Amino acid sequence: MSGRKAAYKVARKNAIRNRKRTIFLVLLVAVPVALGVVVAGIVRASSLTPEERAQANFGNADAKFSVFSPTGEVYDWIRDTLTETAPGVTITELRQSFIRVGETVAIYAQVWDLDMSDPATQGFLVHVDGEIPAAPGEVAISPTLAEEMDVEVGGSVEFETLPFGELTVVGLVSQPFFNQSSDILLSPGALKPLVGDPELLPEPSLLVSGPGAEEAAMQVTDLWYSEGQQLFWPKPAVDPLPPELSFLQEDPNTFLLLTESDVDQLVDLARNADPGPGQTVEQIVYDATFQLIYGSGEFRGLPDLYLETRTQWLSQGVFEENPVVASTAAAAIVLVEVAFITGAAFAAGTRRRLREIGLMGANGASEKHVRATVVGEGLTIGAVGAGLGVVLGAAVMVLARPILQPFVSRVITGVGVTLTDVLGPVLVAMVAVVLAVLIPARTASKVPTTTALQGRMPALSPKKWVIPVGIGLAAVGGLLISVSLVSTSNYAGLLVGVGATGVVGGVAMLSSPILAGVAKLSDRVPATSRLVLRDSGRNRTRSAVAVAAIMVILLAPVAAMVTSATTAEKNLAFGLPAPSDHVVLSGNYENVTFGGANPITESDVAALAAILPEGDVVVFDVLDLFVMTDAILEVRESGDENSVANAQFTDVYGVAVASTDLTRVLGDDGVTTAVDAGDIVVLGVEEQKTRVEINGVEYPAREYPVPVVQWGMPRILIPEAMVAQFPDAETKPIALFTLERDLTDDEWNRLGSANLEVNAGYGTLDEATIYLLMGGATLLVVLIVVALVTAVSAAEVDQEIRTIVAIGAPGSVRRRFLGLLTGYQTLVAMALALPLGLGLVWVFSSAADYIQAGPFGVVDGSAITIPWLWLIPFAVVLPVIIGFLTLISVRSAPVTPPRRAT
Amino acid sequence: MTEPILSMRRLGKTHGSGAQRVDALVNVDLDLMPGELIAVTGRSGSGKTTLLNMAGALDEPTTGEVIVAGENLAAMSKNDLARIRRVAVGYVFQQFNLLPSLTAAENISLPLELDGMNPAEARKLAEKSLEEVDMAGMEDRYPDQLSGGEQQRVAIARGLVGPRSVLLADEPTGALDEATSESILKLLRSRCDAGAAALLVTHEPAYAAWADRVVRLRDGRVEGISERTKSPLTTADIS
Repeated sequence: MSGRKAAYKVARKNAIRNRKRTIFLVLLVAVPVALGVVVAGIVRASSLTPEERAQANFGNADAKFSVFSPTGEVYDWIRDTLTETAPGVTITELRQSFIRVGETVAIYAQVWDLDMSDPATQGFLVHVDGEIPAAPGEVAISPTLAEEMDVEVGGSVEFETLPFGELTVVGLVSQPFFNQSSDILLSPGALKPLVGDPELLPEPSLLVSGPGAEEAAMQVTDLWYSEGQQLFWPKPAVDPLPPELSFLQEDPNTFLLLTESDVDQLVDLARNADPGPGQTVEQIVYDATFQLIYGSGEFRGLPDLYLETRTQWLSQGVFEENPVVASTAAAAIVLVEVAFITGAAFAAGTRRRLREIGLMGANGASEKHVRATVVGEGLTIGAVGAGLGVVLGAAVMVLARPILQPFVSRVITGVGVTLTDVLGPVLVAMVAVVLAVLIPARTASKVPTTTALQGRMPALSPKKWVIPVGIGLAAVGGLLISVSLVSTSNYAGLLVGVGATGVVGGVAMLSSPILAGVAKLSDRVPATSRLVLRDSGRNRTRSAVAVAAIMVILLAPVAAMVTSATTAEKNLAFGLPAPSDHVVLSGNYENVTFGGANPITESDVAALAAILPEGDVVVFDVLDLFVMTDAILEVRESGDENSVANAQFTDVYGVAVASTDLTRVLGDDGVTTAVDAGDIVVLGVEEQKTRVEINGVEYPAREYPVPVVQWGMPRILIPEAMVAQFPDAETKPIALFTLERDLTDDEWNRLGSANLEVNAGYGTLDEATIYLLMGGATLLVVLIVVALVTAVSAAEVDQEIRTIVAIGAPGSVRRRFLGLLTGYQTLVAMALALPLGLGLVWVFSSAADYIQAGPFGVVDGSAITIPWLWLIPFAVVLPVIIGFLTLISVRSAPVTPPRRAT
Repeated sequence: MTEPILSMRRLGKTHGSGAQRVDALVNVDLDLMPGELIAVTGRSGSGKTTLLNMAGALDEPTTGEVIVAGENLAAMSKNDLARIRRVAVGYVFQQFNLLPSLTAAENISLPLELDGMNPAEARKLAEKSLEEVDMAGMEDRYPDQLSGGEQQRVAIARGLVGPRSVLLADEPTGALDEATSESILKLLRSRCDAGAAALLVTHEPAYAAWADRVVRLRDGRVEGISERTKSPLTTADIS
């Protein structure tokens, strides 16, 4: 034990002696841990604890009844029965409703009618400023709503959709856990007289508090269903029901709610129904009954009572994201890279300390002691780094509180994380660092003492087991992924994770023999390049780790590019992506509660033109025709290929009459010419040989790749001369606005609150921009990793570079060497990441058992599209850029002799 | 009269200024003739390595000038100084400093290749150079497959490969045992007898005795120069 203690002492002193490197590694560990802590804090702040959720729903009460009453009143029966059951309980009435309060601008708010001085309501709202409303005509609102409506305490406010008239804002209140909410608090009992019509009153709730409140509330609920509810049942419109409907008499939910008119309709239906195979008249009538009662758009229901208790809520636990899992996952993702970099740092450090290791051996240290020295140093750094990370994370949580609070919409108190939240990142950090130092520790312990004393690292012959083990690991990983894809087990996700790790790890292991192999083939390349290839082949611990670290990063853009290209290809079945500068106005929702929108009017077009004054507008006619094209929507079961091939897609948007104005706005000469020639045009598609069938008759059609909005806008244009062929078709107008730019957020919001049926293309990035952004982001991350890996191994490389300079190379050879080295390592990483990324996407896609079909084609769900035209340049150019950026950013070597060994 | 291959005139090197000022070298005059082996001795801090670094175009003098193969280093750019190191002077270090990832032949041919020579041609010269240090047949061995003495022979071969004719050896026997050290000194002596010139920095009076002249440095100044009177010199001549 004393030997091990001595080894740890050496480790500790070594960490102190190499202060710069130690600080670097400590920070490297601390940053992901801090990240994990902050993620935990944000997740925790974004989700409520069961106690907080209970407070938001119950205030200070133990139970809450929601009362459904046609009159909007609380039945006295409930109060009386509660008091009889448990004389000690207190009952408080509360009304709240989340409704739209702004018409011109869409503003929604929670309207509260509660007495804040009542102990039962404590916790629903907190008093922020001014006074609590005490008289009718007074109101308190939340700071967010005050800002939104541009009103201050002392000012007056009027809500467009509420019949409250002008109210004086006497104070500010806020929900304690949602401080960005919009709230309106009226004086106690003010809501009812303000609303007037009892049917418009929000449903009342009863808060029940005091000893035995929950038990009493449950007993009252039982009594309600056994005897109370029927006291308040409405009188049936027809009693008894006609014999055809007698089977409905038993269910109060139907029989009591049917009107006379309903009964007449249902009797007619029952007499004339023609049930299909396997159907009965009763079923048809029953379905129609429900449609009449619940599909009419008017609320029809029996008086009811719904009970929630605090104990129930508390026992439900937290459904939101788990902060512990989130913090651990966030830290783990970054710590994978940290493990690689730390491993490289320790490998380089071990080489530098060879003489010291030799001296330890000469003085009796065993292999175990040497390993303990390296692992001990790793443990020290891991522990200090993790501790620092926790402190840093906590500091960020405290300092960033003003920024985080609006983001998570609630007040954060204290540090915002618990001990369990930080435990995960800390443990992951310790494990990552220990795993990272294990190989360097083993390598150091295996160096013969005499060799170590000479400062020489014995040449490592390529391990013969690396290739089969690497391939085996990748194969087992692939197998696990395959199993997980067909498995319905709850552990499928775990299998995917372990499998993917195995595949990536196995392929990463192959980087070592690849580097060794390339080094052997380097005899004929120029001197500096040869040095780079040989250096990478010889110092495989360092270079293979760098390659693996870069490879892991490169997997993301490779997979993302393929996934993006595949999605784009599949979406082509639905036509070209919608243009982000087209807005289609197809109806308005004036007085519409349920069902479709009304046809547009001139004032709708004017309203939209007011929002989009720059738009070029055309109003054109759409014929409500039954139009079909080749394929149908989406089929999710394999084996349905035949039905897809035989099916057709119905364009529910009818066909547009191609007026001169419409073709002008679409701006495509081909479309104009085709329409003038009397052809039917299919928009948003090319080279798909789309067949068009209108009312069962197939027409020749020509495709034009003119993108149009995929919802609301017909994609079939017919010449005006053809309209006469469809005299029975209903016609409705549609307006198309075209802009020279994408919609702004403000315009989106205004369109959303304009009560119009509007569709527009989203301002999505084009393929080239997406790929360039991915490439740029990848470059940045790879550069960071390359910089870190190069930084930790530069000391080792520098000694050799000084020798090269001493024998005649200019100092700039260091820049060339490191540039070539990083470029080469990135190239090898890319050579591994490319097939691996493609393979992983292919494996995951292959399990897709659906066929994506749209009006313009059918795509196998398991097919992948590889964007070679982007991938190949990306694979070639990225290493060049990395190498070049390294070359211009590192310093030349000083022209001095190599250091003497100490 | 034969011109010196390396010439140092009133060479001075100062580090720091004011109270921190250290005169590493003061007014050193020294000529190294072709075929000559000069040993530079002195205590630690006497200026031996500084002198060698300036002779090898690795450091710039504060005063005076260095002329190598007729070229004055003072007026040269960094690239020209690098060229001098490639074609005129070769370094031998105490720790051999062979590049571990290159074979013996590749280590030797490296300066030639850096100078633009065809690798095949450079290889031939490297093989010849290896022969001259009695290492024929070991061209494809890596440094870690060679003994310390063999590595130093490769380093000497590298220092004198191709057009290089000046060898600057900084304690070349510091990491070797006595027998191996002696063989290295014999090699140095024989290479000088074959026409090369060498400046040998050493602590060991016995090893300095292999030199034609011994320059004793003290506090950056030449304290004395002993001429060769017989071969090898005795320790008495340089004590």
